[in-house]
Order: sequence, then structure tokens, then C-alpha cells
Amino acid sequence: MNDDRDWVARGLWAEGLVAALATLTVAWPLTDLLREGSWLAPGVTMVLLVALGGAVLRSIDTPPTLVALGQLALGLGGLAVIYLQETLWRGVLPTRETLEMVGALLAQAGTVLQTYAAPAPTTQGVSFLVVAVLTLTAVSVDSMGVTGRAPASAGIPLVAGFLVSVSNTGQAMEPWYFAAVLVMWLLMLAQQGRRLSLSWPSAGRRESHGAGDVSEGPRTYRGLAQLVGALTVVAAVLGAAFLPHLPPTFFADGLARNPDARDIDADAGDVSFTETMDPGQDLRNQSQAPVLTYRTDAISLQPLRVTATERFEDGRWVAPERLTSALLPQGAPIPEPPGLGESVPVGQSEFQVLDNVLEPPHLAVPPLLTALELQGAGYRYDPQDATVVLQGQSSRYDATYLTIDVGGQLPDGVGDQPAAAGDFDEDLLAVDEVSREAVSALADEVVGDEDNALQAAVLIQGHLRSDGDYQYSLELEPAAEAGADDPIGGFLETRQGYCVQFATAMVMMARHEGIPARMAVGFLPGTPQQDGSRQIIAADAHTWPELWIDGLGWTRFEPTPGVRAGTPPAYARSTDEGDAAPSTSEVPQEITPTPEPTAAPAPGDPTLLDRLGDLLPTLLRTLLALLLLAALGTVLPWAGRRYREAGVRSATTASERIEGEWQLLTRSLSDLGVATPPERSPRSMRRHYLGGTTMEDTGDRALGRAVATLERSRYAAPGTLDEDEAHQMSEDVRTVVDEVRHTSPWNQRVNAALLPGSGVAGVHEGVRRLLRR
Amino acid sequence: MSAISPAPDTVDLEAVRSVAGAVHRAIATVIEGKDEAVATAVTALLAEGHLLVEDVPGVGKTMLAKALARAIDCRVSRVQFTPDLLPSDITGVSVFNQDSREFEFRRGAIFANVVVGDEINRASPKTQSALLESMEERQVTVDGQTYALPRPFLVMATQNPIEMEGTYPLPEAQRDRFMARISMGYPSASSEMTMLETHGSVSPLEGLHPVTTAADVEQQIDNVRGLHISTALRQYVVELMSASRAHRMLRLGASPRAGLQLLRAARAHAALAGRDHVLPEDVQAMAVPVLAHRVLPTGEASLPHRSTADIVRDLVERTSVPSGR
Repeated sequence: MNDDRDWVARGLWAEGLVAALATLTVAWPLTDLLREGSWLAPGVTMVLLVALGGAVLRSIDTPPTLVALGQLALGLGGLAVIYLQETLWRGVLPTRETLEMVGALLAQAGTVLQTYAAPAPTTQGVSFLVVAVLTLTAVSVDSMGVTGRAPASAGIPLVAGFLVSVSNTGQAMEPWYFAAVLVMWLLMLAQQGRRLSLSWPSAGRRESHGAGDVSEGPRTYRGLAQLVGALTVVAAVLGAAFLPHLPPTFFADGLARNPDARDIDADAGDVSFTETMDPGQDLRNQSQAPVLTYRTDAISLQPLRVTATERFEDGRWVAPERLTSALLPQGAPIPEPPGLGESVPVGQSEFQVLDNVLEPPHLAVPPLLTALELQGAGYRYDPQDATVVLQGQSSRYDATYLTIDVGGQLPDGVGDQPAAAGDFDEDLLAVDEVSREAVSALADEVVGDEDNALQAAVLIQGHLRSDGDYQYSLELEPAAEAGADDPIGGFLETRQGYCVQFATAMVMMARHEGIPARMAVGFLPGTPQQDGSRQIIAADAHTWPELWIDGLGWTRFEPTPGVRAGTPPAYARSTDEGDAAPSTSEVPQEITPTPEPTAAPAPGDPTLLDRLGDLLPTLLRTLLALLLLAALGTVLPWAGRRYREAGVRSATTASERIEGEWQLLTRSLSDLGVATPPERSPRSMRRHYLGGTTMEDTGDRALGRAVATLERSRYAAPGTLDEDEAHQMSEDVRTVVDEVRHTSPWNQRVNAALLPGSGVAGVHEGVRRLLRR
Repeated sequence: MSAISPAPDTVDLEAVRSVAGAVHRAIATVIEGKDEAVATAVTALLAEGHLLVEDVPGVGKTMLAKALARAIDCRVSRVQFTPDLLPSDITGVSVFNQDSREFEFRRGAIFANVVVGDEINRASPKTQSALLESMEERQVTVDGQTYALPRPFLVMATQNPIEMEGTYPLPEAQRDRFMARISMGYPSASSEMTMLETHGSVSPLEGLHPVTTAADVEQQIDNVRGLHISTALRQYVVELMSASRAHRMLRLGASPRAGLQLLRAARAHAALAGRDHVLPEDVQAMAVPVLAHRVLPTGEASLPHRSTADIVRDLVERTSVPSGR
């Protein structure tokens, strides 16, 4: 019976189980990061296997190192059986293929993590990596927290594992994930505390030392713990106030956070909206791999256009069917943009692509294209929807294009002439039947009796951009009234959506007003790079409506509000948008796809003095903090010095002086990392110090003399010692301390100088004296 | 116990060391390779303490006792303890003298400077206790008459471990009167070889001649008494004693007399090392021989077969040495 309990106690089964559960709570957030749960069963199996193995090994009294090694072997074996079964020789021994397989799995996992945004697909490689990391975490948590009986340090692997999840979700994590890990860790600490307090001997000691001594100890420690706790809280508050708040950095690259993810396979720059006409999926793509890198000399940036469609069927846009017969022959010059009036002020800009990975036949070019030159490929031009059809692969190309000069005034009469229905394809004026009611009601309300097509379009754009209180959101809320087959009606009802919903609504409303309209797809202008080029990533995908305006031809509008949209063209800005008289000197507003809200530009140009004034409080605070730190930094060395020399200072007789010098020696050496032994005879103290230090001969001899003097001072008949010997002792003690300091490692020396243990003891003593008073 | 004479102002350490060294060397010619046991015996001699030599038969207990006795030119008596030995055989007996028609006291074996009691635990408790008074008080009382014993007075008893057959375990009170206990232990292989070669034909004791006199030894005993013991060290001994009483593996701790004798033995040890003051090391060196035979282990201690010597070593290890004067 007693034996049974012994091995259960040795095995620490309950503690092992809690450690395993703690490891599993760390793995919990991974369910958000990975799409499929196929890693879950092997992961749980491995963690429990490691815990079980550890408990069994501890039960049979295995040394701690062997327990950890055994668990590691068990973990590796388990991984091999689960993932590498077919490469094992006779199902047991690893072979060369096993290593190759491990390499392949890890490479696959790396590619997936760098390519995909969370949640990433759980391939075999990802599953292997996750389970392997989980197994290692389980081994380290178990060996530190249970076998090593230091659950506090087991928090380190737990937090490390947790941070990987935190840094890869890309958004704030639900608090209960952290709470779960915390609760499990505290449970481990509580178990340890309980075990410790149960193992304290009580009866025997009280008899030998007296009850007073025993109760004194814990109380002193509790006081110290309270002091440390209070200081920590104060330091945390001060630190939060003084320290600058740095942007978050990530614990590990992965799940598309790697900014250098260029060298991954060609799928990285893939975009899907050119086929689906819906960039929703691309907008969610967190891949930083560039799709297109280009330069342009235009002042105001325009989105790059890929293609356009006019067919809206069953609630979604359909990619245009391209008839080869309708295309211009290869090499034919690009025709002038149709419908652009002679008197409209235009400028010409250059456009140069440095790198392009967009899949053919698609090609991203600026609108109002006038000339195009491809390297290594040919193209044909579809004048119907102004689309370039790429033939072959081209990573570099140049183009020239027209920009409608924002500085000039549009000629009078633009948009006055309504479009003649007969001139256009009927699709360009077809309003979706399902949503016709909602669209026509809203369009009539917004446009009112405005006859000019341009003014009507600006009104519609204004309604969608700002007046109608629409929200930009990648997540679409289900509409209460409109059916699932009526996305436009749903959008007008919920007033939430992204570029496709806004563009579609504008196209339909324009068509209802008799303006031919189509939907263009392409990219926002992208992010400027340090070398002056701009880079477009998948998340820069964008759609916008193109309306036929008499006198302008096919004209871009920008009904999408928010930062993930282009600026509306100058000719299409309503007066109340703030820049009715745009000037050429105006710096175009930066267009970035970053989801963070852009900071409001500071009014005016701050002078140097202003900036200094702004910085002054920060400087003062920093200075104050530095002074405080410096003061704190000198407190410990000063207190340490006083504490070490306390005995020497209070000495009145030669023998007291000698005792003081000895105290100086023991406390100084303790600062240097040579522990003070419990009170023993001077000779055994000497043996202890000789064993714990590496001194030169002079130090050895000085220590010998000091010990002999101390011995005679303590045990010989009184009156045999004089001041000279005390003086000699003082010199010897300094020699010994200098020698030991000289041979200590540098970190020990710095520690002894700046953060001496005697300083802590001195402060503690001072505080206690104050409290007693 | 005889009155302690006042300590002389200057301690003649050289004399102490030369006498002790001569005795030590003389014994070493007889006892091969038992330096530590011999040193303890000489220390006990200088501390004027009685010696208990305990071990299995045939390892040279009696030889050590006899050699120490012969090395000093003094009155030596030897008593072989047997179950039928009577107390009067030790102390002496009053006999009626027909001529003078008076009772006349015939002195027993105890009236000597060195008394070698062989196999002391084979005698009955009654006889053993006859030694009690004489060992402690250095006097004998027979028929109301008290006779003083000569100085120096040293009882060296040998005994077999109590587990052996046909023995009466020594009472605690009597064990407490011995200053130190020595275990001889088996000799090393080379010592045993030498012994077989040299001791085969003639007893080595024959060649042992006295190297010092009783008066000389008495002088050195007085010299040793003059060594200085600091307050801190007395404090240390007191703490050792009280720790032995609180030790969880000891049923019976050390008596106050044990502390006294430990200090005396430590003084002798310091003198032999040529020091005029006693160090904690002296106390520690004598702790096992002085304390191990006085304490009684609990059942808990006998379970893992820990000897009392081990427990005393543990005691010394755990007790801190007071610093300061």
C-alpha cells in the first residue's frame, strides 16, 4: 500500500497531466490559424504521450535528464510513426528517405506559411511542423515544470508558443485564449506551492530553535515579497508612462508576414478577380508578393485597368467573352480613345513596368492608352472595352497614356447630350431585373431632375461616397428584406460593402438614368517604394464603374469610400467635396491599400521651433526618467558599500575590527558570486573560499594570513592581538577581494559593481529598521 | 575528580609534545599502522581521561592498552574481567591480621597509575560498577575508609562489541565515565604482513621500555590544563551538546560531563598540535571518540544501520560555529 503511493507520488501524475493540458491550451489558438483540424488528433496524442512517458519514467525513479531525453525520444518516435511511417525500415528504423521526407515536409510547411494568410490550409507539412513544435513544447514544459519542479520557468515555452499564434493572426486575439493558458500555468504554480508547503518540516526544527525563530522566517519573507510586489507595480506604471510605444514587431515570420517573400513559387502573385470580376478574395489576401512594379511620371495617379465587363447575370458580373474577330490585328496602332472631345484639356504620361507576374492574357495598363510596347510578347487590342489581350509572357513593358488635365476646365456642354440608345449594346443599359425597383427608386431620388449626364453621375458618386452614409466593409451583412439573389438590393439596404458593391450600384443607377455604364476591374496605384517605383500586391485589386459621358467618352468614377479606393477623378468631383478648383500644384492624396487609418495631415508647415516645442515635454520626460534611473542605479552600490563595511565602521577594539574586516571579506566575495558558507570555523571557511575561487599565490597567502589572524582573535587568549595585526588583516582582505575580482568573469564584476547582492541586503535592512521604528 | 590545579601562566608546549611524541613512537613500535587510534589514546592520556577500546577479538586491543602502560615508568596493574570476578578483587579487601589483631586493608588492582581492564564487559554488572567510584572520583572507599588513588590515574578497558556472546553490556553511567572510545579496526594488508613477520617468534612488548615517568606525565597533564579556551568555543560545545539532545536520531544525547570531557580532550588535541589555544577543529576532531559511545540511537537510526559515530559526524556538520569572541 505504502509502495503504491510512493510511485504515484514520484511520478507526479497529476502535475504531468496539468502540464499537458497547459500545452494544449497553447495550441488552442492554432484552430483559428489553420483551416482544417487534421493536426488536432496527432497533436493531442503526442502531448498526452509525452506526459504519460514522463510520468512513467519518473515513477521508476529515472534521473531528471534521462526523463527529458526519454520524453524527447518518445516524441520523435511518435512523430516518425505518425508522419514518416512508410519511409521507416521495417516500420522501425529511420532511413535516408526519412530525413529527405522531413526536409520535404518542412519545406512545404515553410512555403505554405509564407504564402498564405491565416487561416492557412493544413497540408501534411504544416501538420507535421505544428505537431513537432507542439511535441517539443510539451517536452520542455514537462521537463521544466514537472520533472524540474520549476513551473514558473515552464511559463517561458508556454508564452513562446502562444506568441507564435498571436503574431500570426494579424488581428487582436480573443482574450479567452490567453486566459486559458494563464489559468493552466497558475494551476501548475499552485500545485508546486502545495507540494512545497507539504514537504516543509515543522516539528523537529521548532524544538531546536525555539518557536520564535521559526515564525520569524516566513514573516520576513512575506514582507520582502510585499515590498518587491509594490516596487514592481510602481515600476510598471512609471515604465508605461516613460517608455516610447514602439510599433509591434512580430515574434516569427510566417503566414505571409515575410516582406521578402519574393522567391516563393509563381502562385504568389496570382490574383483571381480577373476571372471572377470580384476582388473580394484578393482584398483579403495578405500576401506581400508584388504583382506589378512600375514607374510613371504622372502627377495624379490613376488605377491601372485590366478589363471591363457589361454583363451582369444572376447577381454577379460575368467576364467578357472575347471574340478573336473583334480584336485589332497584332501590331496595329491603338486607336484614339472614343468620344473624347477635341476641346478637353489632356496631358500625356509615360508608364513603365519593371516587373509583371500577372497571368496572361491579362495586362494592367493605365486607361486612355495611346501606345504600348511589350518586351518578349505580342498583344492585340479590343477597342470594344479598351482591353489589351496579351499573347505570351511579358514581364517588362512601356506605355504612354492620356490624362485629362485636372488643371484645365472642362468645355461647356460636356454630358449635355443624352446617349442615343441605338448606338450602344443593350447590355450597357440593362438594369438588373431583380433589383430594378430599389435601384430606380434610389436613382430618381438622388439625381432628381438633373439632365446633364456628368452632373447626374457626380450626384450618384457623391451619394455613394459620402452622402448616403455607406460603410466600407469586406464582410457583407445579410439583408433583411432583399433576397440572396439580389446583391444590389441587399447592398442598398445594409449600406455595407466593398468596391464591387459600390461600383455595381453606381453602374445600375447610371443605367437607370439612361447613361451607358460598365464595370472596370484593375488595381489601385499601389505602394511607393524607396527607389521611386510603385508596387502593386494582390490586395490592391479594385473595381470601378465606367460611364459614357458625351464629350468625354468612357469615364472613370469612384463611388467607393474609404482608404481602399481611388481618388475620384478631378472632373468628377462635386463642389462640396472640397476641391472644386483643383490646382496642379496640389500633391495627390496618397492612396494606399493599408487597412490602418491614415493620420490627418498636420495643418501648415511646422517650423523647427515648433518641432522643438513639441519635442520639449518628451525630452524633459526622458531626462527625468534618465535622472531617476541614474539615481536608482547609484542606490544599490552605495547601500552595498555601507552594508559590507558596517562591521569595520562600528569597530572599537582590534578584535572587533578584525571581525569587521572578515565580514567585509565574506560580503564582498558574496557579491562576486562566491557564496558565503554557513557559519563554520575559519579554517573550513578558508577551504571553502579556496575551492570557490581561482586566486594567484599572493591572494592565497593573504587569505591564509587573514584566517590565521581571525582565528587568533577569536580563540586565543585575549591581549595577544594589536592594532598592527588588524591593519595587516585589512590589507590582506583587500588583496583577496581584488584578486577574486580580477579573476571573475566580466559580467560578475559588472554585477558586483552595479547590482551588488549586498546592496539589496543593505536596502532590506534599512527598510526593516525604518519599519521597526 | 581531583581538584584542577590553577593553570600555569606560560604553557610549556614543547615538553607536552616531546613526552607525547615519545609515548606515541613507543606504542607505534608495537601496534602496526594504527596511528589514529594511538593518537587518540595519547590525547586521552594527556587529558587525564579513561579510555575504552572496543572491537572484535584479536585486533590488538589489549596490546594497545599494555603498550601504553609499559611506555610509562609507573605502577601498572592488569585485571582480566571474568563473570566470577568480585568487586573486592578490584578495590581491595580488609583482612584481619592475626599478629597485630587489626583489620588491615589489602589494596586491589585499582591502586596503580595505569589499570588495564581486559574484556571489561565479561564481568557482572556488580563488579563493573565497582570501577565507577574509583574512575570518577579517583578514590576508593572500603569499610568506611577512603583511600586516594595515585596520580596520574588512567583506566584503559577493552571490550568486545555487545552483540558478541557471553557479555554484559556496560551500563550507560559507566560508559559515560570513559573519556574516549577507540575502535581498532582490522589492520591493513601490509601492516598485517609486517606483524606476521616480526611478531611471530617473540612478543614485541618484551622490547618496549618505558620512555617517560609518571611524574612527567602528571606535569604534562597540568600543562595541558593551562590552554586557553575562548567563550565562543565554550558556546560551540554547549550548542553541540544541546543539538545532540534534540537530534531526531538520538534517544539519549550527550551529558554535561560529556561536554566537560570534550573540552578537556580538545585542549589535549590542541596542545599536541602545538597551539596554546583551542580551535573549533580540535573540538571537531575529538567529537567522535568522545561522544559516540555516550549517545543512544533511536530505532529510526538503527534502521538504515547508521552508527552513532555517523550521527555525531552529522551533528558536527549541522552545528554552526559561533563567530566572535
